[in-house]
Amino acid sequence: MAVKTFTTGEVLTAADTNTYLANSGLDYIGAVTATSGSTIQVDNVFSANYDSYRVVVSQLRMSTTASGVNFRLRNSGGTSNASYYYGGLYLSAYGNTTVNATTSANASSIDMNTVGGTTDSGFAFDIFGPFVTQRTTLTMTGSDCRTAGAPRMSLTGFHDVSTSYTGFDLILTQTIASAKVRIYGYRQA
Amino acid sequence: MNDNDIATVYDASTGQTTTRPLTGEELAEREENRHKFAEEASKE
Repeated sequence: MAVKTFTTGEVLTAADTNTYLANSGLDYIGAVTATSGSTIQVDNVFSANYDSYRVVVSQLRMSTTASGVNFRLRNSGGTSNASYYYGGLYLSAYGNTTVNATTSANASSIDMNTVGGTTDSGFAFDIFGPFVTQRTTLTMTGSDCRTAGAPRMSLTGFHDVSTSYTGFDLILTQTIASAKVRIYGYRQA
Repeated sequence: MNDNDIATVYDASTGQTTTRPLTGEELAEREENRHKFAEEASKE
């Protein structure tokens, strides 16, 4: 349905409401806040309700030093930690046009991101088809607040196995001070 | 076990968030990732 403008006093019917809900962009699925540890495990967020998802990670800070972030799919059988992951993570610094790349190939996880120590970081990724029995692809963009190093990041990657997954792990190399992870599904009309 | 050696676990089917200790395999992998991250960071 194209955008419809309702007028003052007009009755909003159940049909209109349901149509607009069906055509809405993102459905909130759930959220988790972490204040310690180095891994965030998210279970039972992917389902037959959606083909694609957006995961937003905000207010991400480490306790002390900068950290890497790796991504891995999981389902009821545990994590998919065999050598099925491929990815290209591209990093650049302010005032420097050089782009550094970190690649994952036949890896047990994807090098997804970096977090600049105690400064705030944020990133979001779209993941396509994790629940359906086909290969899963994803894209990520993110930044942290470092004025040095390589705080601007983007990634494309995929998991090279046609299997259904219901969740994921974010595996950090250092201790988390704070992190908020929100998961949304792309609504399907 | 210190605060660094745990996973925060969210289950959307229940809405509950819990924690669990990292397994030996996860701890070993984290060490491997730390070394790899340090090598990559040195190139920035």
